[in-house]
Amino acid sequence: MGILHSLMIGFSHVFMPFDLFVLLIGLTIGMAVSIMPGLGLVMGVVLALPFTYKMAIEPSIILLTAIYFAGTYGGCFTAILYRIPGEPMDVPLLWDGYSMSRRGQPAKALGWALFAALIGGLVSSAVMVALAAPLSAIALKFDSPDYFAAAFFGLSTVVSLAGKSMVKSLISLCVGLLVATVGVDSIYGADRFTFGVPILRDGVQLVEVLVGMYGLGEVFTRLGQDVRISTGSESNLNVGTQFPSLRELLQIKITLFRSTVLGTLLGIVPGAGATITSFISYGVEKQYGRRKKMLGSGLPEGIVAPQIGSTASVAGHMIPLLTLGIPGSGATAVILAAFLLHGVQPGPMLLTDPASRVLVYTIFASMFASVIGMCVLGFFWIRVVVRVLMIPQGILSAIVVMFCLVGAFANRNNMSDVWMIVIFGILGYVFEKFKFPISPMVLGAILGPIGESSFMRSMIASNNDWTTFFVAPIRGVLMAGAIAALLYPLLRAAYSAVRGGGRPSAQDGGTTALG
Amino acid sequence: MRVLQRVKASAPYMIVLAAGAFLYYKADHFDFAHAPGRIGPDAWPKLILALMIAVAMWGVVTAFFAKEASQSSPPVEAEEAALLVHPPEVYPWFVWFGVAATLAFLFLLPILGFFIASVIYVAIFTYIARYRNPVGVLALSLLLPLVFMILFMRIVYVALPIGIAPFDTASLALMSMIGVH
Repeated sequence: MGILHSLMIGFSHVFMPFDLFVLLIGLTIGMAVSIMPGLGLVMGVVLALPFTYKMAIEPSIILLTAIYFAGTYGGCFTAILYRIPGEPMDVPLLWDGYSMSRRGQPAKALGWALFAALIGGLVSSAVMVALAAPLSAIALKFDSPDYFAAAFFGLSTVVSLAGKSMVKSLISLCVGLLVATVGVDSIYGADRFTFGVPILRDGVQLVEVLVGMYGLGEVFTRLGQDVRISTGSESNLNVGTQFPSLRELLQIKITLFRSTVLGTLLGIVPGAGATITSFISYGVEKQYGRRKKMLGSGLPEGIVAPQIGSTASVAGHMIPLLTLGIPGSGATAVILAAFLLHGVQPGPMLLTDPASRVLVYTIFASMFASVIGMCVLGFFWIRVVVRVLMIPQGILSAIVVMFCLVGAFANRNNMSDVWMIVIFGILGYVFEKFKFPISPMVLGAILGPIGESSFMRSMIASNNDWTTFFVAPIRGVLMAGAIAALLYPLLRAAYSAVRGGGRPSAQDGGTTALG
Repeated sequence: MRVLQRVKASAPYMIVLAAGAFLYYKADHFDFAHAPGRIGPDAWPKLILALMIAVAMWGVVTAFFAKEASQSSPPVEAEEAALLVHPPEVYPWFVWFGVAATLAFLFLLPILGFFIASVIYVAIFTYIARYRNPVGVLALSLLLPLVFMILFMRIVYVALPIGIAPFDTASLALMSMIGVH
């Protein structure tokens, strides 16, 4: 069965009434959460998870993927018009998007962002469809040391990319990895870090970590901040969207190509979330762009590069999830949880089994539909969605905190899960307060079990020979890449010191999150 | 930098160091049957803890002996953008009030039942979050728990806590009102 034929079957599923309805709901939720500072796409995906418990698997994954895609786009509207970045990934849009808007071209700026999201989403989704089968074939050859190398690669990249302090990133990662070890060990049956508490013997659920750190932790943090959202005049709500002309598009064709490739490739790397991709795309444009010296003054390149980067990264993130079963971001970790709740294990076997193959291509088709749908919604409906900004922060905090607590309870009808979420919420606040990045901790909790089980199996099979992680091509390349990723920040710091200490650049100014 | 400031800067790393050392001790005492020539369930946690302890030690040293912050400031645009995403904390006590209210809610939930406990919690939490319109607070604290009951009990089929007597009477009456049996 050819790829196109499978994709058409996928589209026929996506356009079934309920799936289409779920897609529209997902897109609307994704846009709303990305517009509102303090929410965010990961929180949107997390809060929607309890509603998938009673759904079939196709609409469940369609809902979460639609939120994920739309979450990378909705924030551009408020960043460009009001200088309110709904998410850290929208910060680069402030520099050129808001500047263009202030120059009297808000419709044009929105048009560039919409076009960038469309191109980034469609091209990266197409790349993903093309790569899925060959990557699955390669993934079928993976054994334990290869899986360990892939997990190690993801963990090392998130440390090197997440935040300004490598020490804090590493500590955050270690905390996440330790959280994943709590409970009864699967090989020996030994209790680890349970401290005699019965609920800890089951281990810590990933959803508890995600909801606690991203949801409740963010709400607690916001309680201490003086958050005032001013949308200025109402007139901005009536701004339309003006598409760029063909001539204007051709002028930035290199930026379009570069950012799409960068976004998709970085998306494949576990750990490099939409925020990191957005900042790197802007940074590369600032370093190599044709009009790099004018960037920040309201150039289309400054809007297109980060928007393409963040949207393209979504399809990239789905590749390791569907082909290896390794989630590379907070949102894909929740999608993995939804798969597992429905009894489906993502991985290379998905494409070999005819029934699950249909599921995979339905997800692919929903990604194309999500990209087009979010752009259509952005064009016609964003003015309605953006009114969520008018909800007072106090009300919003109460709604989010109730969703977090009740959603956690709904997972297993268990109060222990709710207590765990509050503990992780407090931990999330403490992390924010002391400027420890959250994304390495969460990725540690996600990749920790994969890393440990493959590490243990490899060591037992090789009689404790650690060179087993380096002696074959796939694992050798991944381990070399991981070591390079860990050394890169150190070498960059040394280079800056030799050059006389460079000032932090604009693209270093943001914070990172697993988008 | 004064000594007190240096200690304050390195305090988070010292806490991590102490926690790491304690957990390493615990990992060293995991109860399992050793298999000769095979690594045990303590190997992976010990690897992580060794890394964490080493990094925390490095953090203590670098934070304690860090030079004064240089006069050169980051670019204004980056600084402003960072503040837009993460405004500075100005009401630390409100955070702890919010945490205390949440813990009290969890404690009271099995006793009062979801609806009554949520009405009280939402009212208090909204107030702590500095939304002070009394009509708005009242409306939200009554409507939000009701919407959640409908959403989770009728649509997602989750058995939310109904509480103990006499509070369960209110929960059961409300459930029959919204059609949950």
